[in-house]
Amino acid sequence: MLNDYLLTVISNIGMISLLAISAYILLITGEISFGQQAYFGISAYSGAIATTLWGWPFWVSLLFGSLLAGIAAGLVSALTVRISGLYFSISTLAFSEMVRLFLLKFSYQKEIDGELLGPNGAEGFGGIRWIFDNNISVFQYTLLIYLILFLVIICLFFIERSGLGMIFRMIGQDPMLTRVHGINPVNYKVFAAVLAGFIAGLGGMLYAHSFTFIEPQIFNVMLGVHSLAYGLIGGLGTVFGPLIGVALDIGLLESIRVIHGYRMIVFGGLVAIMLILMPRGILDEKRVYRLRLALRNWLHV
Amino acid sequence: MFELIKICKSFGNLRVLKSISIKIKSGIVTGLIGPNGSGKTSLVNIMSGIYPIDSGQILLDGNDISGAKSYQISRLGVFRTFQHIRIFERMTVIENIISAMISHESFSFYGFLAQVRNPEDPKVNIAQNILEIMEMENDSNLFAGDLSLPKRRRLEIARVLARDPKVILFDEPAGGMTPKETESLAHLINKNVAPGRTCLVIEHKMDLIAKVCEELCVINHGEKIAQGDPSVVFNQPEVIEAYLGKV
Repeated sequence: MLNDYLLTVISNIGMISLLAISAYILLITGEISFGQQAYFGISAYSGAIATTLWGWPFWVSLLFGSLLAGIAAGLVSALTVRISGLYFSISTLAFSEMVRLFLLKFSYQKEIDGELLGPNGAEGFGGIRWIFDNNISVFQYTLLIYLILFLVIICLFFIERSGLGMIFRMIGQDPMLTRVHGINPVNYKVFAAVLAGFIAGLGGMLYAHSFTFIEPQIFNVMLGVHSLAYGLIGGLGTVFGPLIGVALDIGLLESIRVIHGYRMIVFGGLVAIMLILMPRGILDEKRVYRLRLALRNWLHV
Repeated sequence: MFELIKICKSFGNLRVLKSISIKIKSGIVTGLIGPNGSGKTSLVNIMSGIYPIDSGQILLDGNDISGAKSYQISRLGVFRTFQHIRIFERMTVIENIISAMISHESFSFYGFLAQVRNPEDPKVNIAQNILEIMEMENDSNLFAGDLSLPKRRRLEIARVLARDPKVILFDEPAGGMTPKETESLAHLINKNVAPGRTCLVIEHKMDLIAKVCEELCVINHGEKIAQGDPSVVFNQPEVIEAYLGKV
């Protein structure tokens, strides 16, 4: 039977996958964001405040945190949409650090059942007890995470096969040619950013309630760098690419105790090797297309 | 009719276009020639909205489109090709062609989520017909980035056909082609592209110009030096001077 440690690893993979998918959406529109962890963090804090301090229902809080993350992402994107490349990456990094530094100073505490709860700067935000209060087992919560991940994947799967998905990839490959095709990339880039922020937010809110304790330091730039690398390793041809990256890193490197200490060395090396050998990851556009053709032929036979 | 009135464009101190005025007649193919650096590509970049103009006016069918963005001009039915080929390299040939069609649609929510790569989609049928015209039907599942140069040029033209614009601006469509390939391109333009459309063709290869153009415009140093029937234009002393130097 699944033990709790294995379940924690599996649920971790699910939550971080949402962050990786968020970074992936921006990667296919041609932008490298070092700041998706900010939206993960915004939603983790606001969602946890909603359930713990305000007593809101879980699903409402989940939507609240994720929408807030999406709105923040939309505002940042509206400001940065006209810059691209390195400048875009730097501005996303700057924003995410602003969020982290704000959380280090942010204190909002309330007495709940005789206990002072809520975020308190660098000391973090503990006592996010929704899971315990509602008697949710680790197994049930893992199922919940995978239900949400599944819904996100279904949505993205349809978006990718739609005209919208094609426009995202057109913008990612050649923005000028996309404009010549009568498409204004600005609207689509902001939309992609809102979508990415929302999905990162789903992951962040789930993360806060899974670990019951969060602190600003969790949402530092390394989390963002990892979420970018997951797409680059797993592949940018399909939404399943980043999931492979997450499974490789968290499933193998972080969770197997023997290699845990060498995780960053192995992971860094893996990223470097992948960028040379498979610049667009394991499941890149070509392999995905071949797999799809093979699958289609197989289904028709 | 595409009309350029007293267009000026500078990059820093370099005056690329000096108050140039050109009328491009509807429904025919106009050639645009001139020595290297005379401002041909800049002119096409301005007509397609990629560069803003410093002063002057651009009229499309009598409507002022000066200052319009490239995506706005594209929606008015103007499409262009590039001297340095631009295709979506990480898409297949057929996806490249479909990409020129999806941007046509007004975006309803359903249009967003319509399955573009579904084999039953009518767009796939249209794209396949275009590939047959281009003699590329066996390449439809290849990635555009893996195509040879002449096939990339053909893909650009296939995209033009898929887009079905009123006005087409060709920037050196025969660049890098052999004489035989150029001839088949000329045939293709005359047969499938030009009829019913307004075309402007920038080209250095005079055999292509001679085969497809009904009107010729010559520019040099950012100024128009001649426009009219090709046989007349070629014999004007200014044109001979621009190409061969002063006697």
